[in-house]
Amino acid sequence: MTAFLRSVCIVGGGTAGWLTAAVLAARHRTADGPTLAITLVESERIGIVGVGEGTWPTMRNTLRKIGVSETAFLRACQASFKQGAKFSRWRTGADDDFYYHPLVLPEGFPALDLAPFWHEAVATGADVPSFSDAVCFQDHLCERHLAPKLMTSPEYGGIANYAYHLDAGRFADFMKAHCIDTLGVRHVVDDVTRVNQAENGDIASVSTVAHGDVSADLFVDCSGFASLLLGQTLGVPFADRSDVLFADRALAVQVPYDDPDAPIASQTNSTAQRHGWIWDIGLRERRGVGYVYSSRHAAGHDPMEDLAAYVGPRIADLPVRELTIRSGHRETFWKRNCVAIGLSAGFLEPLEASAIVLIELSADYVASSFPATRAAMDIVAERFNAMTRYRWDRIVDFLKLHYMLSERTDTGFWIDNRDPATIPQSLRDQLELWKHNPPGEQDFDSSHEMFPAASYQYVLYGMGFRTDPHFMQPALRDRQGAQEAFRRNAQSKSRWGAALPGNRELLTKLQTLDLPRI
Amino acid sequence: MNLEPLSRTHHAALHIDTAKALAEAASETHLVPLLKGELRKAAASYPIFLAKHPDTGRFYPAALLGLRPQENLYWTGTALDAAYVPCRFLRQPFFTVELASGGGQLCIDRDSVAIDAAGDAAILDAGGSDSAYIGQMVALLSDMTAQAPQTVALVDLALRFDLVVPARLDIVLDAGDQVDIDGLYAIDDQALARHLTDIPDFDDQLALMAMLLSLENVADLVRRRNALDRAASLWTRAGS
Repeated sequence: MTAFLRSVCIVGGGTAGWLTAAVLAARHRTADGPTLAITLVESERIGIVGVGEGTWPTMRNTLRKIGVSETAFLRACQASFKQGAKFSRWRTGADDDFYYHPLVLPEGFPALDLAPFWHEAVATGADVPSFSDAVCFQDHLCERHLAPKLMTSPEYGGIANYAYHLDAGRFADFMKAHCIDTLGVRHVVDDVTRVNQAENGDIASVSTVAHGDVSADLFVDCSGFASLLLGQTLGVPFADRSDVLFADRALAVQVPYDDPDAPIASQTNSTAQRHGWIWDIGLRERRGVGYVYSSRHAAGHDPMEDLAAYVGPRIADLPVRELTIRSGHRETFWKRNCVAIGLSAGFLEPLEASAIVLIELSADYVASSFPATRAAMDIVAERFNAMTRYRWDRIVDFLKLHYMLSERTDTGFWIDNRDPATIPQSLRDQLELWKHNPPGEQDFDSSHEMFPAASYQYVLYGMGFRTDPHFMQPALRDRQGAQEAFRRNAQSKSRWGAALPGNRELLTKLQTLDLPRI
Repeated sequence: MNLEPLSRTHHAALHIDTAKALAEAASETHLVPLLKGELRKAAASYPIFLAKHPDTGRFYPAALLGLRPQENLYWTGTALDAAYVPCRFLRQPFFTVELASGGGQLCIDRDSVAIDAAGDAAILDAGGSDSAYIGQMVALLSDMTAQAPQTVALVDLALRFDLVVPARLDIVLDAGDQVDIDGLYAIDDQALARHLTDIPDFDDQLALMAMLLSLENVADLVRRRNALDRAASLWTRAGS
């Protein structure tokens, strides 16, 4: 009789461990209970890194599938609504230099592409709004600190597409409680003292201090930067990407609001600095602020000066945490019967909030393609590795795009970022095409794409890149359709700018009221 | 709105014009909240949906009276052309305000156009006692207060059994106009059939079935609107 795989051991808690446990457990259960025995081993002594306070809109579907209420999630994780990112001082470094990467697609996209029409308007020299503001109503909402939904909007549904900002520590606790109380995940609080391999090289079990050996059919390495199973035990090498992405340090600080009723930003604020950039994420009770920089380029300067200038004098009273970033990922992510998810798989600077979404996507693949047998596992692993490597490469490309288009000349950091030798060939190829054609779906043909063509348009044109209009004439045929789309966008700004509540107003209401389920 | 606690001292001389009161409440209302006890009677005249309160997101049952905001297709100009008049209309211009200490305070809206010295209903009778009219209003408001938690419980029950589904109305009028109404929810007949035996209270069963059956009255709304459009079109032609 075929021996089906029935057990999973996740090593490490934190965001990756508990989110993976929840996705797996929610998928592998019937009305009678779990069909997969999931154990999560977590050390009490090793704290969680808690990197990643920004999600993608995918998190809404992930949470829904896991079976948690959005209202409960928002309350427990001090979460707020995120409608994209605002990049300031990335292009020229001037005070008024900013653009948005919103989460709503350009009006009519992809059936209708407004990029050629916007370029045409820009070419006339008229006073044309920024690309994202012209084609999408979300900049308008963000500039006014508005929420993406109404009190009457159902859970996980909204007027504008949205993601979340959250407290990563609280999120891990929230997932933990749901996994243990509702989804039947076994929680072992213990230190892993040894990883035991079978003769064929598979991981047979992990030894713990007080709970003996924990064996399983599949091991998920969520041990963080240590990569205890995949890296240390199975010897999968690390692929360093610091030749493309230079940031290797971060200074993180939690900043309380001066006024408890201060508006909560509806977007992640990313403000370029001399040697990197500062993230600023508004939660309900505090802001999370951090300076990501290249220590090589900042040599001789004190990065604390830049962070202090951003936060203000009160930084003297706030604890600042220093993190080391090793840009890159494992060469492969699933070897033998072990798959790495989270920091054990890799890490890149949090410029486009890629950490948590990669956990979601990886966990979802493992859950949906869970191999029935050991023989099937190698096939699934091979596919997972190809897909995940593709995803990391696309993220590296997209992050580099933000840097390579900058016109800043104030430091070596920005100048070096434009060095063609630091730009992946795949990205250079795309840029060559986009000189004459706007990014479109034809440029992204994988079913595992990370960023849609619209995201590339937002960053590309936000950073001042221009597609030569001469080759785009055929794309200007549907002039009436374009005019209607621009008008719809203006109407959406007017309608929803007046109707949507403030981000803080809605989040405060949700402390006592529940969003309707439908 | 300017609510003031009703008192014999301050409001002894007030009169209410009950026709104006009804007009003020009903003439431009296209969606009127209903209480549980009203559902069976109201279902005979109006389509009843569930809508969400804009401030709280909570569902409440409501009769749909028009196909666009501020349109009441049952309003004749002087009366409601229906067998049943909802409590919300009858109580105008009186309201119950919840007190922090518990209980309710009967209030009058001093901005109401129905407060009229020539009005047909007095607050006090000639002897200085509560008039029969105000006695009816007190009883009505007291009943409305008592029914509020029962209405909430009925809605909770419908949500608990997943009986509530979005109801999108796509209507094309005789004149060719497209009317899209969203933000309304209805009782799903299949879901109610599945869970009917899980609902022990016969009153609850009846109330939910009444809401379900009331949806047939959407056709009546459309008929009323078509008739109005026809009349308007004739009038426009005659005047041109």
